[in-house]
Amino acid sequence: MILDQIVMENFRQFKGKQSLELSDLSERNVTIVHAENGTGKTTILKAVLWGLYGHDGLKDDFEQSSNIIHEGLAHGCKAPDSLAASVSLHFRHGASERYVLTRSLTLAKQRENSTKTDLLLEVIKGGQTFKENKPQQKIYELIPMGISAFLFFNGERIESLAEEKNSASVTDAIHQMLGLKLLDRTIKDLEHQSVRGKLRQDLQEHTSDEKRGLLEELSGLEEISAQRDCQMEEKQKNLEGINAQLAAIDKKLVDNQEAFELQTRRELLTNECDDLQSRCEDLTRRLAKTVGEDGYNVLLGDRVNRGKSLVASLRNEGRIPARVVNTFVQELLAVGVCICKRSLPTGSSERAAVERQMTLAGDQSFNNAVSDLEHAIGLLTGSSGRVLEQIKTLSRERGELVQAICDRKEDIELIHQQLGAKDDEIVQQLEDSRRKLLLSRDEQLAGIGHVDGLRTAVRTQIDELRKRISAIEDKEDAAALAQRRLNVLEESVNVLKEILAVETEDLRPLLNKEFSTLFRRIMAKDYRAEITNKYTLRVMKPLGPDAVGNEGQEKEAALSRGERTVAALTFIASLVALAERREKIPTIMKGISGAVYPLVIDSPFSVLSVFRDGVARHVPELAPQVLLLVSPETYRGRVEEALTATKRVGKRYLLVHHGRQITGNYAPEVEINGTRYAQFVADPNDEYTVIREIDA
Amino acid sequence: MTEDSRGKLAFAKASKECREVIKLIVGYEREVMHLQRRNDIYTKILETIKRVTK
Repeated sequence: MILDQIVMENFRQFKGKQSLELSDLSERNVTIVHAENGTGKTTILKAVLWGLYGHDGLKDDFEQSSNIIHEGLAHGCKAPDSLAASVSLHFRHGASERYVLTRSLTLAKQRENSTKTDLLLEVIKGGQTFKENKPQQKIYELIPMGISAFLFFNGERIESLAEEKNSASVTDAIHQMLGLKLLDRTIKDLEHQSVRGKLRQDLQEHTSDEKRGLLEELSGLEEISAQRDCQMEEKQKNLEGINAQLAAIDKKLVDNQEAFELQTRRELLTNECDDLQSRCEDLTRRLAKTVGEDGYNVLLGDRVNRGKSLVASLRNEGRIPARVVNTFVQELLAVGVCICKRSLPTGSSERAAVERQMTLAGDQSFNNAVSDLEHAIGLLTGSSGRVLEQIKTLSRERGELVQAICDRKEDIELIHQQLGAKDDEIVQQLEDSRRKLLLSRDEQLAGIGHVDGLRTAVRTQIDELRKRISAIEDKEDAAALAQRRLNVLEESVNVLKEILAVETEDLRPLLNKEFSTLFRRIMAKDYRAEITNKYTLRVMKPLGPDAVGNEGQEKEAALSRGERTVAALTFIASLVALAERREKIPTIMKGISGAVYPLVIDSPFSVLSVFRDGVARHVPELAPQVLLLVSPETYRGRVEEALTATKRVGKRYLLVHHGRQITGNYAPEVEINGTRYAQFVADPNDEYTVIREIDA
Repeated sequence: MTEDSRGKLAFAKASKECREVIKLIVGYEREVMHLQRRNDIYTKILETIKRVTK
C-alpha cells in the first residue's frame, strides 16, 4: 500500500474539503505535517483509520469518537441533516491497481448511530474504474485491521512492545504482519463449540456412560477456560483503555497553563522512575543469577581450606597422584619383561613383585580426577570472598535504586497534592480523575496476574482429562467413528499449533537481522537488539574481555523509555521490511505475497529523549513511505537538522489553527527550516484547522 | 507451498485425514477463509472432517 492522498471533508476540525498529498518518491519518501498540540495531528491519523475501518478503527484515546462532523457547521445551517463528513484515501496496492476509498457520514446518521457509515471503494485498473461490491471485505483483505496498529500509530504509545511482559503483542505483530494470523484464527475456529462441541456431542450420544461422564466434565472445564480467556481479554482491554485515558489527561494537563510546569516535571519524574524501575529489575535478575549460580561459594567457608590441606597431605604421602599407571604395569606383565629388563616368568618372585604394583597403581582417569580436583580447589580458593563481595555490591546498588525510586514516587505524590490543591477547577477534576484511573490500573494489573494463574491451572486439568478420554476404547461403531473424528480434529489443532510455532520461529532470525542492524545504526552504539526465543524484545550490550581475556561477553541492557521506544519502532520497521519480501520466505501458507506498507506516525519524537536525532537520521529507512505528524517543540533543533540532512523529505505541511484564541502554550508563528509561518489565524466566528503546504 | 518450510515438514508427518483438514485452512480452499460468516467456516470444517473420516 502506498498512500497517494488523504482527503478530509468536514472531518472534525478540518472544515470543508482539505487534502494532503504524500510523497511517493523512493528517494524522497518522507512527508511531514507540522502541528501544535490540539490542532489536528492525531485527527489526521484517526482519519486514515476511520477511512479504512470506520468506527472500529477509532480507539478509546480519540475523544468523542462518535462526533465525526465538524460541529461548527451545524450552527445556522438550514438543512443540517444533509451535512456530511467524509474521508477519501487514494492508494496503490500491488503492481498496477489503484484504489479510491471514500467513507462518509451524514449528520442525520451521526445523531442516530455514528457507527453506520457509507463506504465506497473504487478500483482503477487498466484505465477503467470498477466499484467493489463488498468494499469493507476487500479492505480487510488488503490491509487487515490487525496490522493497522503497526502501520498507523502514536509514537508515544509503542514502547510497551518492548516491555518484558509483552511477548503476546510481539508474537501477534509477527503473525499479523507476516501472514500467519490466519493459522492462529483457525486454531480457534477448530476449538470452537460449533466444531469441537458438535463432534463431541456426536460422541456423547453413542459412547459408554464412563466416557460420557468424562466428556461432560471436560466440557465444564473448557467452559471455565473460555471464561478465563474472556476475563483476561477484558482486563487487558480495560488496561489499554485506562492507559489511553491517562495519556489524554496528561496531555490536557500539559496544555493547561496552571498545570503545565508541574505536569511537565511529573512526566520527567515518571520517566525517570520507569527507567530506574527497569534498571532495578535488571539488577534483581543479576542478583538472583549470582546467588543461584555462585551463591554456594559463600557457604563453603573453611571447607575449601580443609580440602586443600587434605590434598596436600595426600600428595606429601605420595598417595596422589598415582606414580605408576596400571595400564603400564599390565603391559609389563603381558610382555613378561620388567622395566629393569628382568624377565617375569609366571610364579617368579620378580613377577609377584610387579603384580603387587597393580594394587598401588592408579588408572589415568584417577590422575585426571586428581588434577581436576586440585584445579577446582584452586578456583574455589578466594572465590568465596569475591562472590560475597559481588552480592554485597549488587545488593547495595539495588538498595540505592529502590531508594531513588521511592524518592521519585514521593516527589510525584507531592506534585499530585500541589495540583489537587490548585484553585483551578479543571485541574482539580483532571487530577481527581487521574488518581482514580491509577487506582483502577493497579486493580486491573492485580486481576490480570490472578486470572492468569487460574487459567494455567485449568488448562493443565483439560490436557490430562483429554488424554484419559482418548485412552478409553469405544465398542459401538458409531461411537468409534465419532471418536475418530474428534481425534482428527485434536490432531489438526496440535499440528496447526506446531506449524504456527515453527513458521514463527523461522521468521525470528530474519527479523533479528533487520532489527539489530537498524537499531545499532540508530543508537550509534555497539548494541545488539534481538527478539528472544520467548518473543520479547531485548537489547544486549557488550562487556569488556573477561578475567581470562575472552571477548564477546555481553549482558542484557536495562532500557530507558526512549530506548524502549526506539526498540519498538525498529521492530516495527523490521516487520515492514520483511513483509515486502515475504513471498521469498519459505512458508506453508499458500498465496502469500510481498506487500509494501507505509508508516503513519503521530508524535514520533516526543518520548525519544536523547535518541531523537538518531531516529530522525534513519526515518527514511523505517518504511518505503513515511508520514510524520510532529509538533514544533519536538522538531526544532537536532531533529530538524538530522531530517534535513537526509534530503529525503518530499512534502511538508503545516496545520494552521483558526479560532478566537490560541488554546495551549504556543506562539502564533512558527519557524520551520528558517522560514516563519503563521500557525494561528484569529477568527471570532468559528474554530477550525487548515492544511497548508509549505516548502519541503 | 515452498520446499524448505518447516511448517511443511510438520504437515507431512500428520495423518492423511489431518492433512485434508489443514489443506482447507492453509489456503488450498482459501476462498473459504474469506467467508464473512464464521458459521459458514465452522460448517465447512465440519464437512471436511466428516468427509475424510467416512
